Amino acid sequence: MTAILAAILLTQGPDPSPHSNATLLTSAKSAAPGEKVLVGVQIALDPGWHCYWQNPGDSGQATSIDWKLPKGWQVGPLMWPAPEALETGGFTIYGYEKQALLMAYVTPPKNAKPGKYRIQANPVWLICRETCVPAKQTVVKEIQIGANQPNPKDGPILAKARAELPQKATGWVVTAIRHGKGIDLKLQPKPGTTLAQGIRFLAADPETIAHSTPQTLTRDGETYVLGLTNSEFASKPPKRLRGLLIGAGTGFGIEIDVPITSAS
Amino acid sequence: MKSIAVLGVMALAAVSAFVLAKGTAPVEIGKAAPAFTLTDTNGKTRSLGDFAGKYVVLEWTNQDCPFVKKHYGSGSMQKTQKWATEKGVVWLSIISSAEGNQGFVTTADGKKLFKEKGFNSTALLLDPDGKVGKSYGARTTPHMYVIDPKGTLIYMGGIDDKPTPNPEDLKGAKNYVISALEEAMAGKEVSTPTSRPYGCSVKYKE
Repeated sequence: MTAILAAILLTQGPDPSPHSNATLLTSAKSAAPGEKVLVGVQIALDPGWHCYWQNPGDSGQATSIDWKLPKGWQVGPLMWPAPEALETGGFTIYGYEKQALLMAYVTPPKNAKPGKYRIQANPVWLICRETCVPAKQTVVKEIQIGANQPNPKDGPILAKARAELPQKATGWVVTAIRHGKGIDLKLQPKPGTTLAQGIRFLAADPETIAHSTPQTLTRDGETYVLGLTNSEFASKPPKRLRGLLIGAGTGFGIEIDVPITSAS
Repeated sequence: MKSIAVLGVMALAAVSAFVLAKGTAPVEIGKAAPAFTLTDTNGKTRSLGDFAGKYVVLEWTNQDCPFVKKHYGSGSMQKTQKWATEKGVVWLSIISSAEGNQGFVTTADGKKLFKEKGFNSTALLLDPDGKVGKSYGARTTPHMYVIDPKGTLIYMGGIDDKPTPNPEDLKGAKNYVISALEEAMAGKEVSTPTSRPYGCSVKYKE
């Protein structure tokens, strides 16, 4: 038996997803035609290793997913949990340690016939510690079209992760003003929310802001002002500030998506 | 919170009044590139000043980084180095990995690496204490800088516009170093003076 196992291991070749492993989670075993289903690619990482957010920061590569769905099925935009800002040697990357669970809604067509359908995701990521290794995997799960039937194992995991995604800035007044040295992110949180030192803006688009420069928080009456520094590698001034506010008073993160206007 | 070095400053020449905060190691497009002296893998001392009157390309590298492997494994980097040096450009590959970190080479191993990988650079310089890398704000491998014959920085950032480690992404990629050199040599303004540097982090001394 061990000889057969050894032979199998020898013929497999190098691990395409070193120090990590991806699985596909589906919130439903069975869904009705036209009903969206929450799915997620969960990448488990070995201790000390990390993979990257949609803006990896000063180095690295954003995790990406190529979906292979049955004909007529749609997939919505990728939903990213808030990453951590990991700093070494004066540089900052945005990523995930221990695990990354990237979610999306898949929707079968309204005229989908009953039966079993194959949902496939091909995630690609870069896994790093002191060194970096490219990683990829193909993960597959079936969803049936029929009566609604939740997935008792994956469902709760996905529901919890969905609840912990960054929130929209509903009730906030947010503006971004460009001045000579950088961008002032002006925030009026919704009533009842106070912000404290330790909040930080993570840009979702590379080369919008300098990732490692400290962001100072000041008060201007009811408005908080977070001072951001321009990226030195932007070939044109960015027109939009997109990203997350994380840290003190922001829960799981607040989504920011505002145009950048010039100081009048 | 660790103290964070502010990386650099850039002033866009003609397009807009887009100005960045001053950094502790100012490296600006349109300003003089920082002077340096390093030893190459043949034991020869090289200073930026030695090359006054020539275009100089600085290429931060780490032969074990998957992004560098994309450019070297395909022969693309060596081809670009050859194209540039044949035009009289001085191309300096630089390794700022600290001893014990990925990419670090001794002079002897660096010399072997140069030969084995078919480098067509003018020289491979070793910066194990990372001083020169930090003075330029080099943050990834690869990370590219182009300096004109007057010693002015005219390009800094990524080698091209496809920030992945996939060799397939070399096809159709816009090489910013080639275009900066072509434009500058034709007396034109560099249309893309900076772009996102991408790659593995430079493995500086902790």
